[in-house]
Amino acid sequence: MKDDILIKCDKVSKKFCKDFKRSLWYGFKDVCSSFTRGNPNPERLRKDEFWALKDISFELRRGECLGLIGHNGAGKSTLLKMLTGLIKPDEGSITMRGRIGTMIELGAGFNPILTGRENIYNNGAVLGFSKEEIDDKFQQIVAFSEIGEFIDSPVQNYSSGMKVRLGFAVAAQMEPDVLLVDEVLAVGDLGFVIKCLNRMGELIPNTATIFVSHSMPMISRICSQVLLMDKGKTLFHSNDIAEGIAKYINMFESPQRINQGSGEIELASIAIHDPRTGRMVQDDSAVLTTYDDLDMEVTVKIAPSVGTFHLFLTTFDAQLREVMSSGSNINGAAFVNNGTEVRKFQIKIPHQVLATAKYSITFGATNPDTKAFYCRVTNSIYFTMKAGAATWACSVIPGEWKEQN
Amino acid sequence: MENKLKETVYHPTHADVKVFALGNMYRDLLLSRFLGRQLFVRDTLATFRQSLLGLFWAFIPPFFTASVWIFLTLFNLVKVNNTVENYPVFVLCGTIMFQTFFEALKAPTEAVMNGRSMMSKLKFPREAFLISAFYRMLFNFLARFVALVLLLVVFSNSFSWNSLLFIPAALALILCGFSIGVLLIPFQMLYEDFGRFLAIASQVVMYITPVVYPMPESGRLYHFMLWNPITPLITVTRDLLTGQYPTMWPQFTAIMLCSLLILWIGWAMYRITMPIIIERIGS
Repeated sequence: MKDDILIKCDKVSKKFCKDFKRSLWYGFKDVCSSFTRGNPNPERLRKDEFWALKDISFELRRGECLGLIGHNGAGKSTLLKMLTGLIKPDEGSITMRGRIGTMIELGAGFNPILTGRENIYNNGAVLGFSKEEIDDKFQQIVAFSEIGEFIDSPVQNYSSGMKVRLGFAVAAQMEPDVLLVDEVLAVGDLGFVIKCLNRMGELIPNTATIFVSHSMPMISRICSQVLLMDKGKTLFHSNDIAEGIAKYINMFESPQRINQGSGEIELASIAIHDPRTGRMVQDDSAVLTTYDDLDMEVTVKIAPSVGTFHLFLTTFDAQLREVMSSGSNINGAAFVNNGTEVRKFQIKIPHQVLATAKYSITFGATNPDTKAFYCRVTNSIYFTMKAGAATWACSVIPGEWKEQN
Repeated sequence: MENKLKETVYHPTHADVKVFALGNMYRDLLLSRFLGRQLFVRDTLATFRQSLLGLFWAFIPPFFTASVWIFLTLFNLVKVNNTVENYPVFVLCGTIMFQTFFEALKAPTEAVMNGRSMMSKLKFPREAFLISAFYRMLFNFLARFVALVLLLVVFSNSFSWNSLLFIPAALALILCGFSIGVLLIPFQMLYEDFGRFLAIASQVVMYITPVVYPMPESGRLYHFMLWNPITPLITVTRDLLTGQYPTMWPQFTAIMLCSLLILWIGWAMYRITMPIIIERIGS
């Protein structure tokens, strides 16, 4: 089994310099000393240097796919660059086995003036194909890219999506042992993204893949393990993808409240019943478990100009997926303004089955006739769900599991 | 099958003797042949496609410089030592060789700089840039050479088959400029100062090298020019083209051997230092 390890990262560290001028000077010194002894003591940080990566270790076998996640600047791309061999680690070692394919920049080597046909050869050459190989695969590339008749137009006339299509179509012809993918599927329409994911799905069983993305649905769909990085260090590395994603999402600060709408109705207070303590809480500390009711108290101020109104709330997860929606309009008549300025409402949404995550509630009031917002408060309050099982799905339902006799 | 996989290890240790191994260098050169040619074809095609005059621009600058000097001497605005038989041919050949030399000097860095963003994202044999730069030099030189020979035949009738010895000499001149250029790549990439200095130097050096005037017979300037390494490069190639005996051929040969050594060192250095450079200015 040990022979199967295609990527081995052993305590890899890399330092960068914050100051550009000094960085160049260090580079100049390194260039001059590259013939002699190299950096005399690589473990020491020179002035203005910091560890961009520190002690990253992992192994990856054929058929495995590692999702690399973390904030911008966490060191993901630096790590990829070292795995590709573009820059050298300052400490530790990296062992790569077999042919290495990268999808880090699609369409590298394109010249905007030249046609798609010519650029297929340029891009292919950069990716390491021979002329004959490109000749052989040319029809497949054109077919995959769906560029069609525009293959003989200059690439500068292509939309950014078309360029990415063509670039991916060439890169997709690789048959590497190790595949490094860096956030390249962000452009392109949905159909093409699905096509790309399918092609990656074909490649992954035969390769050791590292997949960098900020799209958690893609990570959870493709990867078999995740490595969460923060400030150059490994924060979490496990086969439990859901847990890794949850940790990643919780690293972000909860966004602040946003008020929208005409302002004729104003949210005065909002509170959630926390089943653990049995009390209403106005901060974001409420924790619910599966099948608990989402029980809320809302106080609103209503302007005299309002006639009737509906109340609604929607729930977003940290990925801004809208996961649950409710409103007084679904099975009730509109509330009527009776002249009382401050009114209190109780909202109960029973039997929550949302997955483990922190959720944001958007609360609002609408005009039943024009559907215009009297008010809409995004991130009005947060609550946390703890479901029995960790998953990337929106909802977790225990269900009844029995063997039939 | 698993055991056949090529294993690559990246670790912090810097250069070892292996980077100087000509075998490895040659292997990578072969690996990057197709990419190098493709880059050259790409850039050349793109240049021509967005140009009306195309090839014209490859040989016009030295002709332009030469015609200025021909004009100056024709109207006796500048007096050039009269030992020169056919001044237009003399000055044309001089400016062409001189500009070819400096272009060869700049070509490697230009090629690498153009491919900088590509190089900082993808791994491919970096020799490809050197190959494409060298092809470009050959291509430009070929265009100039044809123009030069045509003019020679038309204007001076001094063209003989012996003049073809000029070709290997000119290639040697290109190689010499190119070698120094390769050695300068890492420095020029890190600091723009080197490039700016070169631009000024190319103008100054032209006037302290026998490009537009012949080598003085004696005096301080003579000794200075004797030690100017570009002098033999220019005079030997020019002598060969115009059918004269290249008196400076020993110096020329010595410089050639030196430049091969420089190329070797520069190339090895290019191989070692690119990761350092990419780390500092990559993107």
